[in-house]
Amino acid sequence: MKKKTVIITLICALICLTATIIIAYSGLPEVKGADKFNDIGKGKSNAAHNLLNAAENEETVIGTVMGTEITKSYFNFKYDSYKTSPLNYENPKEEAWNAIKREVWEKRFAKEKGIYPSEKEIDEYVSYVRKEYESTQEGTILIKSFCEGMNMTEDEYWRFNRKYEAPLAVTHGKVIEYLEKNKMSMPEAGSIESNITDLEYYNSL
Amino acid sequence: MKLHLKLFKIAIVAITVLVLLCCNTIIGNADTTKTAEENAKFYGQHSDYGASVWGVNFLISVTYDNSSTSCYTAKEVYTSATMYPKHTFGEGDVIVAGFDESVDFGASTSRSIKPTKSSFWQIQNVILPTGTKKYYAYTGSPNKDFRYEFKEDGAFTFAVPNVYFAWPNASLTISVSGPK
Repeated sequence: MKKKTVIITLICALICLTATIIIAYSGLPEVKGADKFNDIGKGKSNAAHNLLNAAENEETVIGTVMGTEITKSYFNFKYDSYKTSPLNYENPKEEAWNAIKREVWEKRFAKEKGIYPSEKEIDEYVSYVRKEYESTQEGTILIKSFCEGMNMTEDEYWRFNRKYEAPLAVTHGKVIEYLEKNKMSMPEAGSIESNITDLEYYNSL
Repeated sequence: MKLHLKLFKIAIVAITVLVLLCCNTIIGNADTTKTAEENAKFYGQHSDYGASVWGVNFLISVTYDNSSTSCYTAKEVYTSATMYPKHTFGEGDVIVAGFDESVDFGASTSRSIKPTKSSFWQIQNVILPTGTKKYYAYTGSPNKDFRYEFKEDGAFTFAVPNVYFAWPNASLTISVSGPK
């Protein structure tokens, strides 16, 4: 009799536990693309952390663009961004190198034309994007999922974004605006002067 | 004196009748406009710029004549898509947009906007706040009578080069009820 009571109690407890788990999980809203955001974060997490930890004096150079030295840790971060992107780039290594060439050209051009963004402009851009993400449940879940993939807290990610990504975005926007206004066009990546000095390393990737 | 008073009274009555007639005409032929709006937030991951977001405001309005008790007439449709504030690297972005128009639950007519613009749509000049990016602003004249419902069902897809979007789609529907 006692054994029967114990079994019934255990079954009831198991049912209650299962029901609790189901209710808890069904309470979490499903957001389309959240898993991909997590994958994107995971894809560039290691390279991002290496980039953050790379001490300037220990940095090794992979090549130069318009005379500017490009470190391996920076190239690796770019390469991982392209390589693991769900956009499935055909040649992510070349795309990453071309992206760096465009960045250097845009930075040089913006400085020459006096349109390089101020610290305030970059801060405003980051706080705008962050606010927009945090303004909806969808955005909140997406950025949380991405940061988990990056193995960073949200604050850490926005600081990373402020340092490595946002300045490029704002510069690009200002350069494009300037080019359009003055009926000019950006040079093809192939025509921007660059030199991969550590070809062995580049080819090994 | 009596004649003046009589004429004055006649004038007052005439004016009152005239005003009432005018009001009736105005009210009877009044066009009504119904508007629907959707502010879609497109969250993306740019391969170079990381977490990014675009807020696009989709709008549609239908102006219809509701003076008849048997059927209404959809006279004009206005639609636009704008972005404010203009995104810092929003160049080259693409919207695929279009509406399916139906009357009284019948078969729908396609009103494509982008990438192919249906001849139904005419460019509408609009004044927008500084810093607003305009994707399109069009009007069209369906001139369709409806007894139960006039409906525009919109579907949109948003894209920017080098950006993976969590969900690139948005929708917007407007439904105007008829007199029946």
